Amino acid sequence: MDVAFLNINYLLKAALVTLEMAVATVVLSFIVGTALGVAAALSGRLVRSVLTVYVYVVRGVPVLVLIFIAYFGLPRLGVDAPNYVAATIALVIYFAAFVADIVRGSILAVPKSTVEAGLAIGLRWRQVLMQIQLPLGMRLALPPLVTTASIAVKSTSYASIVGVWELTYASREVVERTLAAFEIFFTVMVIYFCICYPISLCATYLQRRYAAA
Amino acid sequence: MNNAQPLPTSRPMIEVRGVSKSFGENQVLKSISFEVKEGEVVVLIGPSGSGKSTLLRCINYLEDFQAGEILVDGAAVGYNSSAGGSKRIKQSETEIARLRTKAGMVFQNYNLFPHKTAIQNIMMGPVLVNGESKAEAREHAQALLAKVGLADKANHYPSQLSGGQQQRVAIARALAMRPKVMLFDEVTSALDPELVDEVLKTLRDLSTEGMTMIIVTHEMQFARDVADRLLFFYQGSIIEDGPPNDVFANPKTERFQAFVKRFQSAATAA
Repeated sequence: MDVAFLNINYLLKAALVTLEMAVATVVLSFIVGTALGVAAALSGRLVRSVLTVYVYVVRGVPVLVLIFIAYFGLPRLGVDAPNYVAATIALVIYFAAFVADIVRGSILAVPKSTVEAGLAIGLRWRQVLMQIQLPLGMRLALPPLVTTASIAVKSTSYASIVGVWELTYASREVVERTLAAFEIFFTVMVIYFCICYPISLCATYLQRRYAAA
Repeated sequence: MNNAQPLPTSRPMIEVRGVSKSFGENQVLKSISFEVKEGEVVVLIGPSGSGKSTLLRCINYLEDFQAGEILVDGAAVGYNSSAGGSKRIKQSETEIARLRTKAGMVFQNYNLFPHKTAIQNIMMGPVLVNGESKAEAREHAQALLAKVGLADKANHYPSQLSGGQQQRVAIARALAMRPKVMLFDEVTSALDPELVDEVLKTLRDLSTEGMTMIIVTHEMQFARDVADRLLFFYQGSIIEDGPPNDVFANPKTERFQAFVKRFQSAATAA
């Protein structure tokens, strides 16, 4: 494992890039996804159908293929974007679909009777949304959202295939140089774990704090 | 029974005129008409599916109705009629929300907001709808909690309260909006028998204070004790209407006679 320690600085620098991509992906996909999910929960059949189609398409395609499409497709559209931008766009499109579906389902899962109780005391629909449906819905959405965030972080490794210099890419460089495949990949696994584990801890904390429901 | 003298008013607190409602093909309310005076306690009884809960929910427009009018404290609910009286114009969300504050509703399954404490549940309406300050609302809410016997449970969450306690918080929450009439939809049906009495006591207290109340219940003894008038619903129509003693002593219809027989045999068996 000496090999691992010799190269650890290089790998950690790359891990930082992974972290940047992960944060960007999670934040953007959650913002877009939540907006779409809320819209779909509250809107009529048309918006809901659009969202359903979007989710089915995304679920039917490997995220790597989406990254390829973004990487090769953006120049076709005249957009000259660096490879990590293309990869992030693809990841956001991919994960926003899952977030939207989760948020939509969670808002609709808030019992109709609780919503009616809000209406009965004279709340307007906007107040019911902000005071009852969103707070309760997001509590329900927390566990699946954390799982999604976790998967999103790990999916950033696909960006290495289009040449983005992040942890997976750097690990392959080091393996090529040192030929110590197992040791290096094992180390990288530990680094990924260190990035993902806090997300799970965060989730447990948030669930305990807001589990008054 | 209502001990307070009802204030002499020229118009009834609740007017239901020719209200009909269908769920698809199934007509659940068939041209229902009745009035409730201020301070009166009217109890709706009848078999399941006879339309009593649906009618209650029409009064605060949680259910739409296809025909008829409902007036709460003189104001039309759900629809305004144009000058000729022939056209129904659906009210705006604002109007409907405002009218709902005049009628407080308590539900069978309490429906407390699980993410708020008891006192926060009660404060929500006054703060968000009436624009009261948090301090004012908190004081009022604390007083209401004391009134229903739960002063020490202010900071408990619903999950930490028994069914009977949750229901009493629900009653306090409805009262916080200072409604003109209280609507009770089978409020003891989901409670364990030991917890029913504490809720019925709260209802009794409210009635002696002169609150106008419409109660849907299966608790026959309570209905007889508390009601000024009993309305018997059967398959979407009111087929008996009168003070409990009259109605029980002289049932006009066979259906109600059968209903009374079942109740009396159950009572003697108990």
